[in-house]
Amino acid sequence: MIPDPLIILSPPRSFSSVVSTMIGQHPELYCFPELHLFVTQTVGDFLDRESKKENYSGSPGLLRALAELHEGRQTTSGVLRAGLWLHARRDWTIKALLDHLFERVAPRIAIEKSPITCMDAEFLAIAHGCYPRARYLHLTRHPVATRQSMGEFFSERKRLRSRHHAQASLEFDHLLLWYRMHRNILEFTARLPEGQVLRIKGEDLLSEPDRYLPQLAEWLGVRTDTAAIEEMKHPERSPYACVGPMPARGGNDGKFMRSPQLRAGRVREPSLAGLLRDTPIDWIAEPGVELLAAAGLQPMDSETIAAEVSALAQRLGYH
Amino acid sequence: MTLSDITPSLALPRPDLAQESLAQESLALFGREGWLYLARLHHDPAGQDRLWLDAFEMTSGCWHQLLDTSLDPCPLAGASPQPGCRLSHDAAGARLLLEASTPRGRWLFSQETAGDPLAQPRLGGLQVSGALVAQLACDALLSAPSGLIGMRRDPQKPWRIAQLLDLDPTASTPRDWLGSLAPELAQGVTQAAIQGERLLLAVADAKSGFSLWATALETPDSGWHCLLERGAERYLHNREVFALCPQGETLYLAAGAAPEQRRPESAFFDYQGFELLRLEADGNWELLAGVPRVSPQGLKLPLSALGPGLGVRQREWRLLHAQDGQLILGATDEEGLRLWRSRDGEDWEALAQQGLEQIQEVRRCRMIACGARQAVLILDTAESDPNQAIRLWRLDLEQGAAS
Repeated sequence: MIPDPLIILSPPRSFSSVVSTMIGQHPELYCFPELHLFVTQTVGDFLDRESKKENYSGSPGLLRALAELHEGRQTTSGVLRAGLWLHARRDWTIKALLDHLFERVAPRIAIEKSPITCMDAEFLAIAHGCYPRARYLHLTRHPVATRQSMGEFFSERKRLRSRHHAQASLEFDHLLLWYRMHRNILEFTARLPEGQVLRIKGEDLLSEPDRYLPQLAEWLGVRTDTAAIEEMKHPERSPYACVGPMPARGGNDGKFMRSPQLRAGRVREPSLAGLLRDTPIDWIAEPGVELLAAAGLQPMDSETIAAEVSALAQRLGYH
Repeated sequence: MTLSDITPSLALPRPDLAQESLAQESLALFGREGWLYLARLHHDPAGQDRLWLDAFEMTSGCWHQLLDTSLDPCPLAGASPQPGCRLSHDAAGARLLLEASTPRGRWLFSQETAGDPLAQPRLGGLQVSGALVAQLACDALLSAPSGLIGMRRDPQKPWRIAQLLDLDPTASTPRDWLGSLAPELAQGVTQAAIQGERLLLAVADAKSGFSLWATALETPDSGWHCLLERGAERYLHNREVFALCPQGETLYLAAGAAPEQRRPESAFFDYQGFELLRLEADGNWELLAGVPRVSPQGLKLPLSALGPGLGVRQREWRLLHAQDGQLILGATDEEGLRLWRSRDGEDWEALAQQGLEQIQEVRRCRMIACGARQAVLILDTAESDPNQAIRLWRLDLEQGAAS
């Protein structure tokens, strides 16, 4: 019997690596790295999709998880064998592959966290189709902090990619990505029974783990004793809390893998109202506006966009 | 528990039920042990003003007419541009008072015989003190251990409480309890209640969710203490408290966002309905029906095992009433108005609709206690027939459960 998994829903740069790894350190839970599987229906389609990102053997997180669970450790040769194992199962469904992984960690509850799942309502539907009784943890982070973190992360990626792929793109402010992904999550979770979803601010959890980790454990129906909670406060003990072997070095946030310890102290929340008041925001950059115009579209005015983002932020408890 | 329609065969004017005494309208209702009083004022700018008072006897189910009179100018100062009537009682609670005001003047009737529910109200016959004038200007009265506190709502924004006045007959200037609250909070007070020795205020907040405040009635200088904030961690989906119902040392709340307040769409597209909460004497709170969530006080799961809207999303809250150790909840959905009762907020028993399902589109409703175990439900419906627009239903809390 494979327990229904816990699926963590969040945009990228929302503390998802550290939070999901912390939860997964509970003795009755197991957190996988980012598998990126809920984007297609079959392993073959998944591998084709990953190939376009030059991950020819599969996503780094999936390869690391297969190596770890098949061989008990993550090595370059183990990752290569995981890739061959995966290619030999191109006809498998994503559900069959996940069942295989989850069976390996049972009776522990598997935790899946891949921010890409929240990019598209279709991906969320795939997740729900695979595990209709899964629980969902909606993890949030302040929009201004997320924007800043996304800006740092994506500018570096863009710089690296621009060497090979120079083309116009729909460039927009990262607050819009924060908005779009949380809106996807809220629209999806609104259709689920209440007990299947829990929402938590990452700032609260990281600032007061002793207050909030037991609540998560209680919701999941697992042990809430001190020893179990203490384990959760050591994400660095996860086998995925470090840079992986070549050619699967990723699977989690790079900063987290380089410094996976839980930091003590209050995580501060900046001011969205202050940002919108003091900073002129280029919601969609000129190349993006031109692309929209070519398609006969016109972006909304800045005030409307700012009001939308503010309202959704307040919905999630941010100001 | 049984429900029965007691709507009189009168064309009742539509009241503003957001105001407890329907101050700006020409209909007033008042409950006493075994009786419901109904006053109607007809103001005709071109003709005469007329005032009626009827009493409904709960035991016999009969209506009695106590007053039918024209209003001649002008025994009291203080004419009101808006015609309206109010029912109240004297300081001893023994005699019914009826005040009517129109642009022509102001009249005060009182029952001559204390203790007789059918005593005819007479014009005058009562010494009009400053405290009495202040009392009669209030939309509702709260009974504190030390006396009455009068509540006035903002005529322009009837959801908002504008004043909470001590009705102390010995004080030269009535104390306004809102004066000691921070101004930004005082602007948003929507509900008030007295529980034991403390005064409770609920403050609506469109950005962060409601907050609940308390102050000691005996030592008001000790200030206001926050009991709940951030809409009990549901943020702006619990924009306001719809009802505050003290039961002994326990406080029950209904909270959510009213349909007209669910703006902008991006903050409410996933709104799922009203919640029921319970605040204990020790400051801890529990979710009775609503959305599971984490909180600084621990994980909150609905104790009734029911989600928002008492298990049906988009069901709209209409009523929460506490009486005789029972809670009565009213809400509307596709099946019309439905009522439930509970003793602890955890186990809810549906009441038979007994005709309520025939009433389409209940816009507002409230309940008036008429003694310990009897109450009257007042419905403001969208019915175009003036004889059917306002409906009154008797609720007998002594009867066995019907579902």
